Amino acid sequence: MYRKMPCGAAGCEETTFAGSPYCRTHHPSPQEAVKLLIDGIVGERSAINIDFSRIALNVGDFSRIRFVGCNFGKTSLSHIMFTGASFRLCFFDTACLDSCDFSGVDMDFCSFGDVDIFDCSFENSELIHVNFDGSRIKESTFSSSNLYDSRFILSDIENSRFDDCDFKRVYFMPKKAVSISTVGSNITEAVKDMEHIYL
Amino acid sequence: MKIYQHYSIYGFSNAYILGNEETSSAIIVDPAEVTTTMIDQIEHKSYSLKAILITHNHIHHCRGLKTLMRIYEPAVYASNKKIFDIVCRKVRDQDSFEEAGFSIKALAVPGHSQDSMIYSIGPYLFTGDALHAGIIGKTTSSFNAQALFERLETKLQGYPDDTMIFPGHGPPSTLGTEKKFNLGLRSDYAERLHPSYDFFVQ
Repeated sequence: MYRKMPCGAAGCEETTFAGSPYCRTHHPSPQEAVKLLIDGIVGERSAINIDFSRIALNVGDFSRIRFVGCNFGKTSLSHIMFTGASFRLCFFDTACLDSCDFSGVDMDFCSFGDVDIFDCSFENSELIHVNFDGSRIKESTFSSSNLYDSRFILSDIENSRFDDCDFKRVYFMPKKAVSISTVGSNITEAVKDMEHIYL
Repeated sequence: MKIYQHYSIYGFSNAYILGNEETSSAIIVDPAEVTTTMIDQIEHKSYSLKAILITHNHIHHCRGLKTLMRIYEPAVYASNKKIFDIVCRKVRDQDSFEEAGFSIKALAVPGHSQDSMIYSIGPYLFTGDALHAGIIGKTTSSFNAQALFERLETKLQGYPDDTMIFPGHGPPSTLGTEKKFNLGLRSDYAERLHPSYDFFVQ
């Protein structure tokens, strides 16, 4: 799980890229490697223990695909559809997500720490035990989602919607919160200061 | 290595099964409880349960220990000599050992409790209640909070930022994210706690 393999080129200390035996620098055709990886995942409808780190993707459809133990760290994802996908033990730390659709996802025990999230939809989703600490969330929506036991500690949140959400056991302590809507949410259930941390 | 996370409603804590497919063996970190799903995962993969690692002896992190000992014969590692009359292999700070084909290093981080340990296994840290996503474990005094802060800072030095953190409660994280955004890893954290603790001693 999340295993990083060293590049096959002699003397190279980088890690392998997109499931190939080489790093991005030493791969003869990085674009082809990414395409092969994606075609495989879409064909199988599942991605288990895949290292996507440092991949840049523009436009793609991963709807209803099952992701388990995948590392999306340092990826740059733009206009990617994850509609109805399921995620378990996936890491997106320090990724950049632009106009991605995570609506209707079933996500459990994942991390989006220090991620740039712009114009993304997490609507109608199960976002259980998900870490959004330090993330910069702008122009995005989490409406009608279950956020049970998720964390938004020191995140920057701007122009985003959290309407009709379940905030039970959510640590909602953003560093900056501008134009946030929480209509119909049980925001009073959320932990909002250090005095009420009970672990 | 395969990691299976289990959420226990009892104490809202995380238990982890770590399976090694090369050796067909497994270890469990903090058996908060034992569920049929956990037993199924061990049995269906034909894992032999070699060890149980306890990060600290709070009941909601080791409640399933007795049940597991009735079914399997694993070695129990903790910084305690005994938990529920079960004899443990006592680990100390910086102790290294091998179980189920994994190289495990123990790091002592007292503060949340005097027996708190972190287990470092490959690129993963099983932090128990010492370090959670965004916060550190609750302490009974600002002195303990400062001690925990200093120990975490010292002992996690040298681990890369993409080290994955699997805590005893709440979602996972990475060390890089925690270094930047954990409220408890800020130098003035213990100072800011003073007013709430002082309330009880005035």
